[in-house]
Amino acid sequence: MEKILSDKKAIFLFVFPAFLVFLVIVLLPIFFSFYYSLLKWDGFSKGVFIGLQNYKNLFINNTDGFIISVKNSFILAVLSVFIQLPISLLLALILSRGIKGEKFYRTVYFIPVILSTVVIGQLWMKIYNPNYGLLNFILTKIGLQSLTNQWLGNTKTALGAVFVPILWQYIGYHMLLMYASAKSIPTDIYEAAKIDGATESQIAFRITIPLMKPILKVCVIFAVIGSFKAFDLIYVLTNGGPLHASEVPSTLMYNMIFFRYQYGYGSAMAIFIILESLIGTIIIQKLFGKDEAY
Amino acid sequence: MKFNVNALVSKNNLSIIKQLILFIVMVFLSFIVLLPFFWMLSSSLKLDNEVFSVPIQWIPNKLIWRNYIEIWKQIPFLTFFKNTIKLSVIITFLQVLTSSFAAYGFSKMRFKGRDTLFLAYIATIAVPWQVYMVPQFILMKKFGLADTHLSLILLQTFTAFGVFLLRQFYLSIPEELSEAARIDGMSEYGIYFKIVLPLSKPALATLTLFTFVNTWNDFLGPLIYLNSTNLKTIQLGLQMFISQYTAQYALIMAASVVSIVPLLIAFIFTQNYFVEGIATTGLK
Repeated sequence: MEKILSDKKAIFLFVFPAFLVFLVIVLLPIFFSFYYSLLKWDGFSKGVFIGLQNYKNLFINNTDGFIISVKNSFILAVLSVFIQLPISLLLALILSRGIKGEKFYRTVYFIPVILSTVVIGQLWMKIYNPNYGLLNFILTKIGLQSLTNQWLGNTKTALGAVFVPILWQYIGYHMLLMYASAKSIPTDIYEAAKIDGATESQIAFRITIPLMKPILKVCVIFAVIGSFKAFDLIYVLTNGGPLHASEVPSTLMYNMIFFRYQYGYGSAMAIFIILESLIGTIIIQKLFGKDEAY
Repeated sequence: MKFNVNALVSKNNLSIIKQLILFIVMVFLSFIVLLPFFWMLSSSLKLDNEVFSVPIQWIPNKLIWRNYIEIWKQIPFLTFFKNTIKLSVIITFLQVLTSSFAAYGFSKMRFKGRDTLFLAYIATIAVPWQVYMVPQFILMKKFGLADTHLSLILLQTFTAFGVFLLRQFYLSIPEELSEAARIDGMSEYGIYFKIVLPLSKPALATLTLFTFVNTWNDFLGPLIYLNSTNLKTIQLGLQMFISQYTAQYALIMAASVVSIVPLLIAFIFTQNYFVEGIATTGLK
């Protein structure tokens, strides 16, 4: 009996303090946001309760490009999971199996993550600049002048142009997560496999990747959620333009709240992002199955 | 026998070619990844009007080392630097502590409603901060914490992100270990401190690094919460080089270069822990 009691106390101590801070500082404000999403409110004066009208406006009488923005964030999520993560995984596997210069590559690939968004934004603007940008310069040099473009200013290319830096910047982030996970797999498992004559790719697919499952799940969830709420670089590069071509829900929401003073309507967008991410997380959890790795 | 030898030779050649291709790819990737870093470095040694010259000039005509002295004189950069270090170190320490504690509760202990509560935690990772930063700020203001470092520390002592990350790492620590310890009469705290923590060094290093980088580069948080110049951080300081009419881009770049030095140090410091972990504890 005493044992059970002390267990209860331990659980309480392990989980409760963090939960309390979390409740006040995160959950409470989110709850407020949900309430705001039911108001017609400019953020300053008194709000008027209008029920689900904001949500109706989002999907039915939509004129703000919200549906395009949701579609764009889905495209980003798919690209992240099927292009960015495989590259990260490949790099993590190569590095964790120990190649010459492991430390060097590990540091170098992580560098984009530590640079601030402002610096990265400035650089990519320079690469995409229609007049003197690096990209058009290279295309001209190799005789593909017809492909040169106003990358960020053209409705056809803007979306792709903002996605490339996002995918590029976070390859190192996911790589490091996967690498740390691969590194914590006991080495004697590898040695046993080697003795049994397993090839490197067999080791990767049959041993390393299955054992990395809990972290791979984290990466997929972060990649998907990160795509649904992507903001910084898009805001710096195009602010969602031109004509909503590179709009994502967060940029639209931000402009709605801080520049058009539609706090209630913007909050409804936010709540949508939360729901979307929650559903995405549950689906991913189901796809990956149970968490127990060993 | 002859066949075997042939096979051996060609296999060796193949692996040399493979390694060569791997080497080229890895170096090429390094180059792409380091491009912005070089650009930042070269821009920091230029005159302002050269930063945006056409086309990009990778090596400046004349190296303006003076930029690296100017940044400390024009704005209170040293104060910003100290503030950023203070905030990043305290927040990172607290966040890793609370995350690892809560993650233990969520991965190694069984209690009713655990998984539901955990899902609620994950759900909040999905919430963009822009959504609730205004209600949150109003709340902190009511506590009388606007324009203090304490507000930013309090906001970030606890993250669902850290709990989630560490929980997933803890899950890969064999359950038998903690079960055995429990049977031997070890308390939950004992299991946490003596078994789980030492085994999760790579995970703790990862979280430490991520948190440190995030708080270091945070712009929006300090922008909203800090007004007094003596409290501001580097990211806010960079904006001071931009006035209404001119922007001193070379100085911004020089200051950016200086500001990532501690991040590189943090990275080099934490990366020694990545290779440790279960592999070196002789677990059998």
